[in-house]
Amino acid sequence: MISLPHTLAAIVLLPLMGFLLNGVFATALGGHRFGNRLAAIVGCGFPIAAFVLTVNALLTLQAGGYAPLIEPLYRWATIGDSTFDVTFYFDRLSAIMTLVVTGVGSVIHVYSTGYMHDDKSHGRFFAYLNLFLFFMLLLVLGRSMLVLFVGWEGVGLASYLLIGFWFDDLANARAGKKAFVTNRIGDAGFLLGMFLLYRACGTLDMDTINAVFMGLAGSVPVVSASLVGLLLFIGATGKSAQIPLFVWLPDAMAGPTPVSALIHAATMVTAGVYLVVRMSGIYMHAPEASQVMAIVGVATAFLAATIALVQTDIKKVLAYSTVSQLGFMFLALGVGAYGVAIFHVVTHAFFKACLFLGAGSVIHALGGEQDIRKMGGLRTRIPITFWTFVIATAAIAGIPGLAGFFSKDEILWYAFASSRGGSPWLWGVAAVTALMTAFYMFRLLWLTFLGPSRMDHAVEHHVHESPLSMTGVLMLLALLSAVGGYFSIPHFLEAQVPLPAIVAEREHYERTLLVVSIVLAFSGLALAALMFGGSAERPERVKRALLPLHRLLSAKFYVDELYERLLARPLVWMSEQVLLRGSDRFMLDGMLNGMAALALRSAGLLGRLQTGSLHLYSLFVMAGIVGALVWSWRHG
Amino acid sequence: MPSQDALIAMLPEHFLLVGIVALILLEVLGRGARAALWVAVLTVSAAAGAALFLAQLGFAPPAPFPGLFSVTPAVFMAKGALLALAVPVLLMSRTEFADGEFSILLLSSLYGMCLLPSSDSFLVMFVGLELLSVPVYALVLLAFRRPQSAEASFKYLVLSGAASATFLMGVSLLYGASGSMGVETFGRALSSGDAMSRAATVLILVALFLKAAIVPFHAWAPDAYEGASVPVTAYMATLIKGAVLLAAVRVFGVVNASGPVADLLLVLPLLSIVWGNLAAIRQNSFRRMIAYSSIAHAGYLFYAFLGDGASRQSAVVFYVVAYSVVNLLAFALLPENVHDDARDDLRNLKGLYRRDPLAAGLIGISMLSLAGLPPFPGFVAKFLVFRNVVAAGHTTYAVLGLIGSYIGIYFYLRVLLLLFMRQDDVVPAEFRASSLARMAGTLCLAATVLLAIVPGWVIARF
Amino acid sequence: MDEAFVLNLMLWIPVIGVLLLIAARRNDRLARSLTVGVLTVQFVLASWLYTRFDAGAAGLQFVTNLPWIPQWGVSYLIGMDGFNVLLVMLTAFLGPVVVLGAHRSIDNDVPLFHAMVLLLQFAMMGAFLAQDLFLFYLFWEAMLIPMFLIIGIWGGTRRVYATVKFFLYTAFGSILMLAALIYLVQALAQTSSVTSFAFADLYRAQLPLSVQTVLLGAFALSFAIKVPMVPLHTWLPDAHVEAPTAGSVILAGVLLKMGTYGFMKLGFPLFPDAARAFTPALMTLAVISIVYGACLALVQTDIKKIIAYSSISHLGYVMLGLLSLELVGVQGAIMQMVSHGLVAAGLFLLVGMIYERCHTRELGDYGGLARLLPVFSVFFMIFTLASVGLPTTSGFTGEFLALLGAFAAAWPLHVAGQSYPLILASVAVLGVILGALYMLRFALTFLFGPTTAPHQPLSDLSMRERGILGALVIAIFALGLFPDSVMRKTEHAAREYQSLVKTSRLPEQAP
Repeated sequence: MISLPHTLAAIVLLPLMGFLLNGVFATALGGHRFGNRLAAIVGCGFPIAAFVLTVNALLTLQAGGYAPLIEPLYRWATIGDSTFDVTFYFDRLSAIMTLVVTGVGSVIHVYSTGYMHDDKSHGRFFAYLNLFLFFMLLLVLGRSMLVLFVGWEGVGLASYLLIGFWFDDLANARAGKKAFVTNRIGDAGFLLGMFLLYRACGTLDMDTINAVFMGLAGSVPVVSASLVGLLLFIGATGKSAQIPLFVWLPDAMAGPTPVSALIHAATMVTAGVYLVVRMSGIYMHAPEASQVMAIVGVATAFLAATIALVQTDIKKVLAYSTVSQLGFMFLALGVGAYGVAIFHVVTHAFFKACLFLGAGSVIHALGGEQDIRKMGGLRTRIPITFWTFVIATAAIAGIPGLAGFFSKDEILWYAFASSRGGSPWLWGVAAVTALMTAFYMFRLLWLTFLGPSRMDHAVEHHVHESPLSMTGVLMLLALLSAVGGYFSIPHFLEAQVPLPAIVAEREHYERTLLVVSIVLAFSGLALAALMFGGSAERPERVKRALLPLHRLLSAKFYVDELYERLLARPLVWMSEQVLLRGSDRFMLDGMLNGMAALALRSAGLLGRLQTGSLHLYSLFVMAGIVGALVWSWRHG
Repeated sequence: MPSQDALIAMLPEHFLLVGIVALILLEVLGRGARAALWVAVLTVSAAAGAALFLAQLGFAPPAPFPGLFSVTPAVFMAKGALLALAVPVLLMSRTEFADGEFSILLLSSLYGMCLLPSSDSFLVMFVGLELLSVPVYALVLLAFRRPQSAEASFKYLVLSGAASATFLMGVSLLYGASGSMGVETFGRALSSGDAMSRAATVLILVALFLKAAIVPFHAWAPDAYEGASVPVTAYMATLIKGAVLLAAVRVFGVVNASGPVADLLLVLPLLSIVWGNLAAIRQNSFRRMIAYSSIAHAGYLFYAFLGDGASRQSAVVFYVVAYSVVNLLAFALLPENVHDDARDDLRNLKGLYRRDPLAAGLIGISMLSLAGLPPFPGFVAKFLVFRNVVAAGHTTYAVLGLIGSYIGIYFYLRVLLLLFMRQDDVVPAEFRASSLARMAGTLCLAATVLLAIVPGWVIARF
Repeated sequence: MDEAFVLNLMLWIPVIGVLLLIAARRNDRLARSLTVGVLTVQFVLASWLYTRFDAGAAGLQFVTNLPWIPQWGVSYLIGMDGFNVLLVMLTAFLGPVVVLGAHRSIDNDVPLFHAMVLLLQFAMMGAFLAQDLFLFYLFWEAMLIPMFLIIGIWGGTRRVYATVKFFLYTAFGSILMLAALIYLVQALAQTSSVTSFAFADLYRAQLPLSVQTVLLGAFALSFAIKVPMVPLHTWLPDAHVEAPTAGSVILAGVLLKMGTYGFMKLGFPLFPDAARAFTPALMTLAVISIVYGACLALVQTDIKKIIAYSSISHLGYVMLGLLSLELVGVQGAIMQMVSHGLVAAGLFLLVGMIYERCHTRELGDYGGLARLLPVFSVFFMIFTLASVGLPTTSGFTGEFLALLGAFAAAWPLHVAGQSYPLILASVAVLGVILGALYMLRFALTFLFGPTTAPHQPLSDLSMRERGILGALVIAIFALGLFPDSVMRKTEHAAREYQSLVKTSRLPEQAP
């Protein structure tokens, strides 16, 4: 390990440099000075360098006995006696997140060199990806909530740009807008929480805020932890696609597949989880907020899983499974198992990235086909993709020994036994969800790779395995999905965010539950095998049997339509009819024009009095004189 | 030595007299239509110069003509200012009047004007008023371009005759009440309670209102202005009005308005502000519009009488000067046209900027100043008046008056829009104002700039 | 060199420019280059003064004080302070930008146009620099006339309606303000026998609450029309739509700030007790403006109107910050003023540039410009995001601090049992969502989707246009990333404002 000055700043700024270089020289802005190759090198080089530096920083951290590295960069603003600093903060938590972001980020960049190879705006793509990394690193490394928020909004921007990357199709751009606006709703909550915290603690530095709420700073916060907790959680629901704001994530699949893997599976969507863990000092004293979080989490997990059961677009299935897995993480947070949540963030990052990239590889092989009903029989045609996909699927399904198994099992256990709001029924719902997860994942596997081919011939005969740049990445991630669970992150983080105590009388269930969850995983597998392994009629029959339910699920519970009817349309109607027509045009302008008309009218009237007849004029005069005299007699 | 005092005290008037005589001689000798103008200009400037000079000297003889005629530096200043204003009028007259009678009539009217601010007795003032107006009947008639002129002059004759009658009536009542013809009796009558003197004050005020065209005694103005020729209209709109106001100042002296007179001063000026500004909106004749605007301005001027008596004269004189200067500026630069009607038609100003940017710009400035918008002198004048009104505690009426003035803004803006709007119909058969008129314009512009840059210095002089 | 002299030079140089233009007769190219030159010099002078401006010192700097109308206590009193330093910079900066960026749309009466721009620049500078109420009013009113002509002569089809509406609307406020200021000065003269229009003296006027209320009403009406605050805003969309690009840029960039500046420099400090008494009402209006403006921007089909209504929304934040009376809020308000100046100017310039190419302002006529005009679209995106208030742009700095201030002020009240301000502040935060909604809707239809634009093929931005927009972008990011040094310059002013408005100035009762 080498100790460098401003390591953290460098980690954050390297991707930014990549963005600027590519953004200027590899796009229309600078007249495409960079060729694809150079753009790719620049695009991948900086993230990899950032990863290396991160590792180095981690070693430094270790050498320092895990005392947080604090690295002030500059002072953003001084107002009166309160200051807003841009300072980087590197502790166990941010170390893990940074590793994931830079690590997974880098490999996905490499993957993209292959995947986006013949896209016309290659340079723009890498610029955006680097921009995303920059903001994401800002998010996880910032010490002050302000810096975190900058990253928070920034990743939103990057995802907006990348979802709408192929903007010639208005639908993609629209999906991007939907993502941004939905996130903004969450951000509003985030902002409110931040303002209250500023008022309460006089600072936005998160370590200080935690200290205040833990009662270590001496001063007692004047805001209720639960209120702030809920407001911040609203922010988290936006970013991490929880009920009620999850609707944007499935649409976000409009972006290129590496984007879905990096932003909408591995990193950005876990920002909400990170936020809550970072602010655990507050949540430990906010039982109500935690309760809400647990319930929302498990509900999201369950609903998303049910929807995933019937999706036919390979990426949509994965998208809903992401939402569902995020639900698991929030369940963990809700019951106070912060370390476990992060654990699942990491393992999920591995296997979900692997799955998405695998899906990408499939799409790549099939020349853009995404409908799993038009796949099948790919096992032999693209073996590497297949085997990596298998491992990742097994991992997410919770097959013992693989990464997903460990993290998910711990979540289930704490959902059951945590002294901070763990309860059997939370576990129950989560367990059923786990079963469904196993089922729909194996369904996906079967329909994509196994069974007879349902591809149309045009597609079929140019199916080819992806280049090494992609398969290599797949293998690496598959490996991580396999072994990623053996490094116990909760234990690593315990020094920083302690795990909740276990309810005494539930301790002895641990073994039983372990067995149960293994059984669930395998029965999911079995069910899928049973249903899709055999003839194609079987699933059809089931479908026909449960047609109404099937329709409800494939319509995603009509949530989008609901929001459209309840929010979007009324807003537009109000603005259009009430404010614009009613108030602005009719009332306000009407009043003005009315007054103007009145003036003109009376002007005409006065003009008409000027008849030119001397008699009339003298009449005025006489009347005037008489009137004046009479007045003078009356008054005075 | 009183006789010498008497000589110097009336020096401006004497100059005018000499000038008139000289002009008549020129006429009789039947030569020098050209010369006449220059003689007149020379005379008037000499008179103005003398007045201003004496004012500077602070020349204040005890009583040159006891009980009839008196002067103070302030009075000299006022005379000087108004006489100076007559110069541009003369200059712009040439285009309309080839020969000398215009000058003769104008000078005699000016002589009357000079009597007003220094008259101690109502007799002198009456003479002054008549001397002021009688030549103007002729002047209006003089531009006999179309029948309206005759009609206009007739209306003017009759109504201002009515004014004179009312004035005499008031004066006689006042004499009956106080046994004196001195103007100061008016001041006393204001405070006194008895019905007779109150009626007297009211009648005199009404007479002044009539001459200054305050609603409802205003009806003659639009017709007369439209009927008259441009220079005469300019003269009536500015100097006559100013003269009448000076007479009013003289009548009120330093006494604060009170009793029914005060009520009249509150209500009728406000009425004419609103009325004038409203009625002007729909006009398409430049002179008619100016007539209505002058009605409104008469309203502001009489508002000044609500203020405290001491600051009244300076306020009125400054207002008159500021108002007249820009008014004359506009008249001087109004493009000439073979048809007087066409010249008078506002719509022919459309796109003037394209044809004559200077004229357009200056007319525009004068309109904005008339509207009382900063940074033009009209604003300072308006500010001065309303400041006095507020100081006198009539805040409500000040606000109402200001709102009335707000109504006025529109029609001045309309002229501006016409001047600068793109020309999209045929160019009228016009030609630039004559070089003399332009000279007049330049003088007015200089004055305007002066008033805009150092208003404080100017006010201090009055 | 003597700063006070330079300040005067900076103020008056546009007038010199006008004289030069008159001398230059009717030579269009010469007129243009003259104007650009003059305004550039002005900007240089302004920047020099900015560097000389001592952030550490409170109160006025570079003062010039000459008696003008001594008998009324009116004097030519100008100077720089924390209140106006940034706005002066903004004005000076936008001057050359406007002329360089927007003269293309002017094809007739070019010299007159440039003369009007110079006069407008002069009047705006004067209004910011004036420290004497009479002088301020002079400049305040003088701004109207050039703007009136700019819209009325070079405007669109309904230009006459728009410009007359603009003028009469604004003039009405001014008239009442005039009455109020006359009364104020009289009152000052009677109570403390000081006849003066100097702000510093007027700040000492002690008036009973009832009087303060009426006077504040008059001032506030005039300022609220300029801001504009709902429901006094209907002149703005028309003016913006009809005005030529330059007009819109100046209007949005500087003129609207006059209103908020007026509130900050005059309205509230002159009548502090009334201001505090009416804070809830004014806050309500501010929040209504935020939401109302955003909602209307959401349903406009004319691209200029979208930006016009967004201005209404953005300036609501300024009012919110000012009313918070918290240092953070006030600083935020000032930043928001500058930021909006830059962002709105940029957006109107962009709209102007596309209008020059396509001659339509209908949003529906556009689509997929990102393909047709990539560079244009990059700039458009940046300004859009700044308008949305995305962090690292100046828009965020202003909005964030203003809202932070509003909350810092509202929370204690809420704890004390008065929750109304807190609710208002929270509603204001929702404006953030609406902001994203309408701006992204704009961007969506404008830039993305299948390419549809009249008059293809289109030429992308020229170097001149890139340069102008680039300058604005740099300023926007500078204020977003490094606002500290800038805000130091205004800190003293913010404190002064705070103390002025917080200390009661009711006349002490005589026993």
